[in-house]
Amino acid sequence: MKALLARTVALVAVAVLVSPSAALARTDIQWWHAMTAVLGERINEIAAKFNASQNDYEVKAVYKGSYPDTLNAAIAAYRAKQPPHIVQVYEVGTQTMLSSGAVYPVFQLVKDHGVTIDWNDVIPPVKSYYASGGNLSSMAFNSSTPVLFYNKDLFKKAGLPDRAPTTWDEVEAAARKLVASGARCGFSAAWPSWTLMENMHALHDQPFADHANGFDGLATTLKINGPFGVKMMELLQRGAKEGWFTYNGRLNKAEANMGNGECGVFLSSSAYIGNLTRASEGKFTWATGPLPRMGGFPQGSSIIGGATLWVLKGAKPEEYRGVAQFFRYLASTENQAWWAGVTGYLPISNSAVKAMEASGHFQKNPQQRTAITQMQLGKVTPNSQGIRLGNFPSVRDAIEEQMENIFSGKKTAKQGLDDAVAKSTDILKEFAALYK
Amino acid sequence: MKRSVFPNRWLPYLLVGPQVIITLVFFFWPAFESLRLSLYRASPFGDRFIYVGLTNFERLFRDDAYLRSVITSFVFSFVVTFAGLALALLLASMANARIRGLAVYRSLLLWPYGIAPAIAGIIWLFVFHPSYGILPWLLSFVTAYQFNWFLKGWVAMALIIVAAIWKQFGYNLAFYLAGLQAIESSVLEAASVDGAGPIRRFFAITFPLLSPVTFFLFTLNMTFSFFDTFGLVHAVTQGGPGDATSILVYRAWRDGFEGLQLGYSAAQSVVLMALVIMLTAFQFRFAEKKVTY
Amino acid sequence: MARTLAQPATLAAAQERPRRRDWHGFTAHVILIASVALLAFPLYYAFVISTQTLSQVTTTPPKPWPSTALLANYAEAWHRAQMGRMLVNSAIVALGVAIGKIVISLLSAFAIVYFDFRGKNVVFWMIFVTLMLPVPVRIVSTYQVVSVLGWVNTYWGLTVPLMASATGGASTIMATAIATFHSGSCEVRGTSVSIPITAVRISGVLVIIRGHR
Repeated sequence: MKALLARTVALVAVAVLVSPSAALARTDIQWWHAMTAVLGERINEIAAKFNASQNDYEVKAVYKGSYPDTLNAAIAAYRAKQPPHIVQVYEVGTQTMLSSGAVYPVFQLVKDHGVTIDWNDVIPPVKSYYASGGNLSSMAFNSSTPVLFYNKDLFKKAGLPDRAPTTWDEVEAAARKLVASGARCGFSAAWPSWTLMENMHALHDQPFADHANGFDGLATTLKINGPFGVKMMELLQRGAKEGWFTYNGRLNKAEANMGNGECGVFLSSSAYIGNLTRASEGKFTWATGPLPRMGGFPQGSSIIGGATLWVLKGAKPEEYRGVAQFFRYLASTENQAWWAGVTGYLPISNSAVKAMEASGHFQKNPQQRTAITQMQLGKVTPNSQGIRLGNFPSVRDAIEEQMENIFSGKKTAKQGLDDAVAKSTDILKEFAALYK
Repeated sequence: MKRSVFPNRWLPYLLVGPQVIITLVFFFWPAFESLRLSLYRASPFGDRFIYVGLTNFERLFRDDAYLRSVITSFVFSFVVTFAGLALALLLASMANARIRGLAVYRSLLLWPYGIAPAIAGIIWLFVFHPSYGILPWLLSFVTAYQFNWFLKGWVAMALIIVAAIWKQFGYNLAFYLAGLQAIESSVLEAASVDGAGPIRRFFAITFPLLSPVTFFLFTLNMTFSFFDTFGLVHAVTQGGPGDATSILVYRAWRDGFEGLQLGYSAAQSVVLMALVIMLTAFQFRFAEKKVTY
Repeated sequence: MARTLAQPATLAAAQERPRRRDWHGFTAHVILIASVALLAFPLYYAFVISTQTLSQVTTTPPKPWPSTALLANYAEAWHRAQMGRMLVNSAIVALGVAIGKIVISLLSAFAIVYFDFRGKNVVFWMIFVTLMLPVPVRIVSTYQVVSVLGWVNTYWGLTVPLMASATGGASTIMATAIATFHSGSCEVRGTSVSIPITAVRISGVLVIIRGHR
C-alpha cells in the first residue's frame, strides 16, 4: 500500500509539473471534435490562432473519437450536466440534434451576443442542408462533398488519357482497362452509402426519402428502391462480379487502398485531399474530377457531408459570449479561406470562395476547385437540398448492410434495396414515434 | 475435519459490507435500470421517455437481422468452444508425459490469455488482411479463391473465431494438461492390461475423468465467447461484412451507442442477461448430476 | 486394486515401457514447442509489421523478418496516441481494480467460510449473480450510475464499477479455495464440491481476476 501511495504521489507530481501552466484567468471553452491526422492538426492550429488573437477566452479542442463516439460523449456529458460548449456533429446527426431540445441555435447565439455573421453569404448547398426556416441552427464548419479521384500513374500505365472519367460508362471502361493492365483495384469508393446512394440520388434529382427527404416533416420511408437506385446497384454488382469494382469497406476504410496507390478511380469526400496529398507524396500523382453521372436522368446536385458545430445548452452566459466570438473568428473570410485551403473542405461563404480565387490558391491547388465547381454547377432541388432523417446512422447501417449483400451477390439489387427500405422504415418510424 | 466457525455477530457483516455495497450500486442498480429502460422508448438526449411495454421485445423478435445475430452468436460460441477444447485436449494428450519444464511451457502457452480480445483481434487482422496479410498470401499459392474478409462473411467469421481460439488456447491447454497429469497412471495401466487399446482407454477412462475440467472450460469458453468478445468484433470487423460477425453483444452496443436507440438496445441487453442466467443455471444443474469427481 | 494389476504381465512389457516413455517424452516436447511457436507467431508477425514502413507493409510478398522503422514507428505511435498518458491510466486502473477486487473478495470469502450469519446465503447468491451480467451488457446504465455519482472522468469511475464485475467469481473461487485448504472439501449451500487445489488452479484464479475486465 505504501508503494502504491508513493507511486501515486509521484505520478500526480509529474502530472502537475508537466501540465501547461494555466496562469492566465481565461474562460475555458470546450470544443469536442472528431478530426484525426492532418485535419486534427488543423483544428488545433485554428484553436491556437484564436487563443493567441485575444485574451479573454481559451478554446480547448478535444479529440473525442469518431463522429459517433464524439456525439455519444456529448450526449452523455449533457445528461450528466457537464456538456461541452461546442460539439462537432456529423451531418447525419442533424435531425437528432434538431429534435433534442438540448441545442442553443447558432443564429440565436450570435444575435444574443452582439456578433454579426452574414448568413446570406453562406454558400447555397450548405445553407439548404442545415437551415430550418431559413436560419442556421449550427455553425457550418467542415462541409465537404464527394468528388472523383484518379491515379494518374495507373492511368498512364493502362493507356488511358490523363483526364477524369465523367460518366459511369467511362468509369467502367477505365476501371476495366486498369484491371487489365495489372492494377489491383479499378474503381472503389469510401463512405459507400454517402457517395454511392445518397449523393448519386441527389446528383440525378432522385428522391431519397419521403417528405422531401425529411425537410417537410419527419421522413418515414426511403425511396431508394426506385428505377435509379436499382440501376446504380446493378451496375456496381456487375462491377464487383467482373472485378473492376473493389468494395473496400464502410466509413473511410477504402481510403487506405487509394492512398497506397492501388486504386485507379475512387470516390470520396473532397476533404480527403489533405490526407491523400500526404499519403501519395513521392509515390504517385493524382487529380480530381466531378462525380460521374449516369445517362438518362435529370441534373441535380451533390450534397453536403462533413459536420457542423453545435452549441449545447447548460453553460454560463460569459462562456457563450466566448463561443460567439470564436464563431465570428471562424466565419471571417480570411480564416475560412485558410481552413478550406489547408483541408479541402468547402469554403463556407461566397466571399471566401472569391478570396481564394483572388489569391491564386486554385492555380496552385487546382484539385480543390473541383468540389466548388461541382457545387456551383449543381441544381438545388427538393431532392438535392440534402437529407434529414431521424436515426440516420442506423439507417445508413441498414443501407450499407444491404449494399454489401448486393455487392457480394447474395441478393439481387432490387431485393437488397427493398430490404433496406423495409428496415429503414422500421427505424424511421421508431424515431418519429418519439416526437409524435 | 470440521471447519471452525467464529461466533462473532457483527464482524461478518462488516467484512461482506464493501462487496455488498459495490455489488448493489454497480451491478444491481445498472441491471435494474437496463431492465426498466427496455420497456421504454427513449430519445438520446433524454428529452423523451415514453413507456411502450414490451414493444421493444416484440420488435426484436420480428427483426430477422436480430434473429440472424442470435444464430451468428451461437455458431461463433460453439465453434470457439468445441474447436478450442478439442484442439487443446488433443495437444494435451500428446504432450502428456512426465517431462521437465512443464511449468515453463505452461507460462509460454498462457500469455495470450492475458491479452485483451481486441488486441488479439488486431494481431490476427494483420495475418488475415486480404491485400497484404500473410495468410491470404500463403493461401494464394494453393488456390485462386479470394480470402477477402471485407466481402466474404465466412472468412470474417473465421478471422474472429481463430483470434478467439488463439487467445483461449493456452488456458485450455494448461487446464487439460493439469487434468491429465492428475489422472493416476495406475488406472490406465490397469485398463491396458485388461486389453483396452489407447482409444478405448481414452474414451472410457481419461475423458470421463477429465469431465470436471471439460465442464469448467466449456462454461468458461462459452461465457467468454458470448460476452467478452465485444472488443474483438469492434476492433476488427465491426460486425461486418453485412452482419456476418454481428454477435449479440456487439449488436446491443451498436444499436445503443451508434444508433442511439436506447430502449431497443436495453431490450437486447435483457435478452443477453436471460441467456447468461440460463447458461449459469445449466452449469449448476449439470455439475451436480453428470460430473464425476 | 490398482496396485496388484500394475504388475507387468510380461518381462517384455516391462522392458518396453522405459523406451516408450522416452519417445513419448520427446514427442511431448516437440508438440509443446510447436504449440508455443504457433501461438507466438501472430504476435511476432505483428511485431515485424511494427518495424516496417507503410509501403513495406502494403507490398506483397510479405516480409517475415523485422525491418528498420522500429524507432520511427514506435515514436510516432507513442506521440500520436499519447501512449504515455494512456499507459499511466491503464496502470492506475489495472492496479486499482486488481487490488480492490482481491481485498474485497478476500474479506467476503473469509466471512462466508468462517462465519454463520443471517443472510449468508443471500449474500452468497447475490455475489454469484454478478457473474451473470458482464460489463458490455450493462454499460449504458453503469455510465448513468457513474455520472449520478459525479465520477465521470475520474479514476474512481473507471475502477470501482469494474470491481463489481467478476468479484463474484473471485469471491466464490476464493471461498471454495479457502474452505478446501481448510478441510479438503467444502459445503457450499448443500452442493458438495471438491476442487483439487493445484498450482494451475491458483494461477488460473489470478488470471481470471486479471482477465475479467
